[in-house]
Amino acid sequence: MPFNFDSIKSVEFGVCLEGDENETYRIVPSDKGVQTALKEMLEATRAQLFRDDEKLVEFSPAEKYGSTERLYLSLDSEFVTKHREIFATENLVTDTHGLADPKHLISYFAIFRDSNGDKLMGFRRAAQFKGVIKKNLVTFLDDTLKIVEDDLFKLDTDFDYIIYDDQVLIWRPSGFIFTAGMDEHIAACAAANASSSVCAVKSATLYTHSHRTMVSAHG
Amino acid sequence: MKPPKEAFQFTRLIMVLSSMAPLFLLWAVRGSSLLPNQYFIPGCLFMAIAPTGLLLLRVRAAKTANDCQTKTVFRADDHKDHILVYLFATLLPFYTADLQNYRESAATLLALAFILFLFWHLNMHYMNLLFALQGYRVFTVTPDAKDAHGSKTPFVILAKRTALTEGEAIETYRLSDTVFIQK
Repeated sequence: MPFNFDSIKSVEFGVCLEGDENETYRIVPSDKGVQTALKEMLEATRAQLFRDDEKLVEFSPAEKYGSTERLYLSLDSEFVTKHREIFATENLVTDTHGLADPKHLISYFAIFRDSNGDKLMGFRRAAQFKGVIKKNLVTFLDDTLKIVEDDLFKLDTDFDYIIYDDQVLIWRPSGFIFTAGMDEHIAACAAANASSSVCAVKSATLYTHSHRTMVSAHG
Repeated sequence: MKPPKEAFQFTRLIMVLSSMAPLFLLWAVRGSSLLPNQYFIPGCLFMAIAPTGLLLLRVRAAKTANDCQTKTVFRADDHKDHILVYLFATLLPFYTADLQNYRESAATLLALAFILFLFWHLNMHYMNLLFALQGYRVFTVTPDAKDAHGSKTPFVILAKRTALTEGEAIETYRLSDTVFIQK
């Protein structure tokens, strides 16, 4: 069944951490406030992706994209092997200290489940979130300024991309490419583009040269 | 990447203490010649009630914070035999322990401390008569070993069900990182 955005039953928060050999995905238990914020992030992403009923365009690693776009990819695509794997994963490891060392943080994500048990995952590259706001932050609590002694993480307003119903919908291509580990694909496409440009230049030079020769012969 | 540090170190110890509640109740009934009843009985009752109260507070806190996780069953084993083994084989020697002289009492308390540590260390804080009285059964769920990113460590689901089927997704509240109670 298609994911029902209007009947989200559960929200889990998780982080992708950089390991010695590969990335690890862990669930960090969160309370109702964080779950509500994550729901708002999903709603904002959905609103941006489906604004004005514009059609989504298929993502291509050969294309150059702006900071925000409306793109999609099928979950069967060769470019999303990593996403397919993580989307299919169940029972992720719980790690209450998952945010203890922000330098290992690659991205954060949320797992949403609707009343039918269908799953949606939203991912965001940890940039703003990674910048832990240390002590000395003043805030208004009971009408007086206070120093917050704990580390604080700031959630973003939307996700880079979301995965559900066998598709990946991309709002921020840079975030998607960063977390997708698509460097090889991008490099291959760049090399292909460069070589096709060189070929085009070479053939143009040859044409000009032969044309000139022909002109001079005729001349 | 190091495996994550287990959460609720102290709360898990309290949960193990809570599972010893029947023993403290029996000791309160039996009494001891070493301590006057006016101290011994309230002491035993405190040890029986306070940890169980904290366990109930943890359940309530998980519900209030909506500390939920969806767990998917790959293989589930009903371990109702664990609670019988625990209640009778493990605690039986303590029920009949001689608390009438200091050396015997000290030896009994030391043995109890060893058991407490083992149960805490082995994450066996799910064995509690309270859960059984509420109709929960203990299921040990083994995750899919082929799941690339998923946990490989078995965990416990307390559910008011007779069986959990393979592939089933269950909404749970987190009591600890290894024990979950069905929503």
